[in-house]
Amino acid sequence: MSILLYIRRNIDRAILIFITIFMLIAYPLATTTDFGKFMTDWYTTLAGWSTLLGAWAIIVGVFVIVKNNVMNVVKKTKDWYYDIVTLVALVIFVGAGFMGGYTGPSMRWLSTYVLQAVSTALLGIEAFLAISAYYRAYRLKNIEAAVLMISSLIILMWMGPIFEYLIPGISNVAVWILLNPNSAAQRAMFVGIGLGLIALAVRSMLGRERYGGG
Amino acid sequence: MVSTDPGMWVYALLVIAIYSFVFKHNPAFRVAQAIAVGGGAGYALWVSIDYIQRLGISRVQAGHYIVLIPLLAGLLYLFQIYPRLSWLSRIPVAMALGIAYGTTLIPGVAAYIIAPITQTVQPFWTPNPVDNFSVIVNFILMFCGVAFFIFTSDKFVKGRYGFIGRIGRIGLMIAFGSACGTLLGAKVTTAIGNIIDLLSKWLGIPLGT
Amino acid sequence: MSEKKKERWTKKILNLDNPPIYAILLILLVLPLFFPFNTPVPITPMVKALYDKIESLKPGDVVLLDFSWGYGFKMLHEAGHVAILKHLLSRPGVKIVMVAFFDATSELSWRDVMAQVNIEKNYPDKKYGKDWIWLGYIPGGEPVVLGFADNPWKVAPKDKYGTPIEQYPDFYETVKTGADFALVIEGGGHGGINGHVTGGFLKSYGLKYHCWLAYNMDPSVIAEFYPYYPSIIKSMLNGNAGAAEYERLLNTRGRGSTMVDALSMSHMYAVVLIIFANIIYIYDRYLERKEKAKTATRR
Repeated sequence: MSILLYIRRNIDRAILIFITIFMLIAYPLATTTDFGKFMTDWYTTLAGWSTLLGAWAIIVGVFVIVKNNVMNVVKKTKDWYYDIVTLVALVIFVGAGFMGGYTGPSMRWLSTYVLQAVSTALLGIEAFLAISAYYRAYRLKNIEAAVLMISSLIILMWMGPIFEYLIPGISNVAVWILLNPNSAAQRAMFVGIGLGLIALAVRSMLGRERYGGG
Repeated sequence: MVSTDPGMWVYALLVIAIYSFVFKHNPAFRVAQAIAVGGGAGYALWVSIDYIQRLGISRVQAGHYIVLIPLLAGLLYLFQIYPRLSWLSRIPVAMALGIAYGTTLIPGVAAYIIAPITQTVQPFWTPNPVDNFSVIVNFILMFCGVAFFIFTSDKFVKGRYGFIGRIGRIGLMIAFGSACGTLLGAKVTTAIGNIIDLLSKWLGIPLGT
Repeated sequence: MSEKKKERWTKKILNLDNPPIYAILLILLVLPLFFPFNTPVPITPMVKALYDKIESLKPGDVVLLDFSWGYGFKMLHEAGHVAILKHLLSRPGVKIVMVAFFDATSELSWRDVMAQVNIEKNYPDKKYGKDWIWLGYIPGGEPVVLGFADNPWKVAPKDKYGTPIEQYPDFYETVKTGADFALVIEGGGHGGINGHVTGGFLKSYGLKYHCWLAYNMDPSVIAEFYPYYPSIIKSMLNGNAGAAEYERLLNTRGRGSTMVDALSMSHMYAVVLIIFANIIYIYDRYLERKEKAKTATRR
């Protein structure tokens, strides 16, 4: 394999390994020594770079949305006309930013009346979907289903303020469930998450996880 | 009195278009959904450009040349569009991932492994019997939950140690039930907010609240 | 030829279409808005703890107030943050650093809270740069949240308006790391304990710097945070219900209180629906067993 091809295939992994190990070493170092100060300074500098990389990722994400929607329109894929609506909305919002800046009156109008409407309503419809799910999903089929249903019922009663007056003490039962069996099970899941996090980092550094293009 | 503000009418029609989905999937919902995607992307684009200008370009102009590294690295993201040079787009991803792992691994181990274990291993011989019972329940459910996730061989699932996995599963059902129980409150709050806006601001109906 | 079996009435009820279920929910959400019954809201220790903490803040204390919720979630968090911000502004000498980490539309969330609080009109003695600053949305996810806790002014060297933080000595000199914040309030909770903002706040301000940490929480993920309460997380406002409690503590009435009745009705409906469905389900199973026994004896 030529050197150029080797670099091309491994440079990103080299950067990943270097930055990860550097920051893991820098994390616990005290700032009383010159070396500690140097490492901590670079640690916070690198953490700050995430902001610019994140901002660029959003910009690139928008380009990808535009590219995918344009391709759908050109190829006339299924429901391609809705992609035109997406592109028109994007152009209108970008254009509004040119008129008076993105905190100007045009963008303010669009964000208050358009963005707020669609954003909040897309969440609000889930209330209806949730109530239908409660009606259809909770059945006393076996022990696990019964436990699921009963814990859900108690928490639902805790979430509705009126239940404390209809069934005194229900909130104490609910809080006990949240603080004890619920917390215990959540902690079990967290241990799994923590081990998975370590495994993911090691796999990425060993080159067993794909990320990005190319 | 019904609102004469055109913005309020746009708001109302978009909200009704989206809520119409609960009764039947229809084109009005799809149009509103498409507007949500396009509008959100457009706004996010401006915020990001402002951020790069304010905390990237202006800082380079002020003499902090080290900021050029993430600024130029971020540009490499765009190369994913060109297949022959798309390997360059992996560089900023690797940088971001390296920074993410470097900053989150140690706190992650502290938060997800050490803290749960120290919170579980508590004395169960205190004067308060409820506390003692709670500690024992915590310990059993956490231990069985971890065993359920980690030990997946038949010996543990079906064999004589299968009861450990069963207890772990029941603990998990309590956690999922608790999560499902809290779901409605969040969604209903947003729905009530939309309804209040439609009734009071759009239709001008005085509410009793 | 076998006869087409007539569906049992219990099965018909269990397979009921959605529109009647949704229609009843809609009525139960709308009715309390016209005929409020003013559900009394009990004050929970979790919310009282935050109120007491803010009451105990001294002049010179710096508070980190985070606005990390997307615009779609505004109904969940706005009321709580309006109440908290009003309380903070009423405390003499308390300084507030406002920031957002979640997504770009978090800036709109901040804008709407500020429009309701209206500092210039209602708190004219509170000056920008001396009593409060706004850093804007800072992209980058969890590494940025953790980095901000380690060295805030390195990650956010300028405020939203482009002014270097060195020009605000009340903040630049007082806060060097997360440990210097007297109180940290995260608004959002989205993504649960693994969320890049919520998880980051827990790991940095909670576990590393042992700050007094409070969340204005999305109710749908509050159960995930109980393992860390009250040892690491000192207070959690449970969405709008928490906001209603906070408004009661402040003797005000805002959007949180407005929604409590409808919240109670919808939860009562959900509980009744689940119990009703299961009574019908148990009876349906009894009828099914009876039918099977009848068929078996006929053979």
